[in-house]
Amino acid sequence: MGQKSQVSSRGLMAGISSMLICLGLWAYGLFFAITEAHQGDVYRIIYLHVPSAFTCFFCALVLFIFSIKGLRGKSSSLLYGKATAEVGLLFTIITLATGSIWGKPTWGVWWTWDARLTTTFILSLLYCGYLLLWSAMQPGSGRVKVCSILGILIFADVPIIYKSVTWWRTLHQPPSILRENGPTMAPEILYLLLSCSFAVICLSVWMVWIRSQNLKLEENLNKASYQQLEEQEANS
Amino acid sequence: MSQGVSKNQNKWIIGGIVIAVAIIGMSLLTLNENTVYFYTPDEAVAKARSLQGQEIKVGGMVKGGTVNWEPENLMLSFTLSDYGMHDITVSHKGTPPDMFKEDQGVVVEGKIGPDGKTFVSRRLMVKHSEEYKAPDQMHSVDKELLEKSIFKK
Repeated sequence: MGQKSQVSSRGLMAGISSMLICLGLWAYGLFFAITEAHQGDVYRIIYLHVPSAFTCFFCALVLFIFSIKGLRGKSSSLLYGKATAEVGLLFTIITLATGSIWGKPTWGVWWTWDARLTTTFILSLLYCGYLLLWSAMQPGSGRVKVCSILGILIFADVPIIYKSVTWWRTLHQPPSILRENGPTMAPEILYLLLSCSFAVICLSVWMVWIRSQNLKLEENLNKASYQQLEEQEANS
Repeated sequence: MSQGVSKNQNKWIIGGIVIAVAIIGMSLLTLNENTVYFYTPDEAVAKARSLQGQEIKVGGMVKGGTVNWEPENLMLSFTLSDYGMHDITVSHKGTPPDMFKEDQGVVVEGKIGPDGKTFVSRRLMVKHSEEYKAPDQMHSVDKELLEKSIFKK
């Protein structure tokens, strides 16, 4: 018991420190980072929007790995898949919300159905679909298969989202960082943005970890309570 | 117990619908090549006759020296251009977004005149480039990047 609580306190430390680093970087981005030449101060939401977008892509990659493991017969990876999908959905929603808030003052609209926005919206629906299926289906090999296949499909949306601004005409601008002739960002903005992205991805890893511990505990509690019921039944 | 089963069925149905909508949406976007988010000025001018009465989007650049803004009656007019053969005179009622300026990218939603020379806009959206600059750098919009993103085939 003592050892267990030690491990979780170390986990808690990791979580709190990644959260503090995120908050520190966001505060820096909000108050101290340089103002952008075209957009002025409104661009500062980039430090929340872009890291969230990278993180929901990252979660799709992690979900993809757990899904492959699930299909290979490791049924316990499904629990991690659920935790990942929850965190992925959260960051997809943050991406859509901050994008919308940013779109109004710069583009003039809260929302438009261009390819980038639509494919990101589809990602949020796919995460929702995964979570619905997960909780609707009976535990067992059927659920592992169906959810794992959907988990793989979700990852297929990520390159479509990423390339959408190059493949189609969109209102959303093309990539500024990962592009052919190098980033089109001032280095001050670029390095802060990359640090933010790294910090938020670390935070998401911690969130997935703590949530899956949580789900495991829930599962064990369920099992224990059924065992107790069965024992009572047998005794009576 | 029976209630639990029907609840489960509902979840299946909702889950199925969500996935179906997602797949249909995705395939509509990828399979139908005729679906364009906006027309370029030359496409819009060429198709102006067949596009009569329809609400369409046209994207292009705001031609320098053509912006006329009347704040007292909120009327905005400017020339939407591909810096080539095709200019469209756009009239729009309403305050433009802060980033609207000359040589900026713009997407207008509305109706095109039968000759393709005029456009009445109902919604005006700014399409900015992918650069983020420090304030001490040049204040110009990088036109080359914008044009590459707007006038793609």
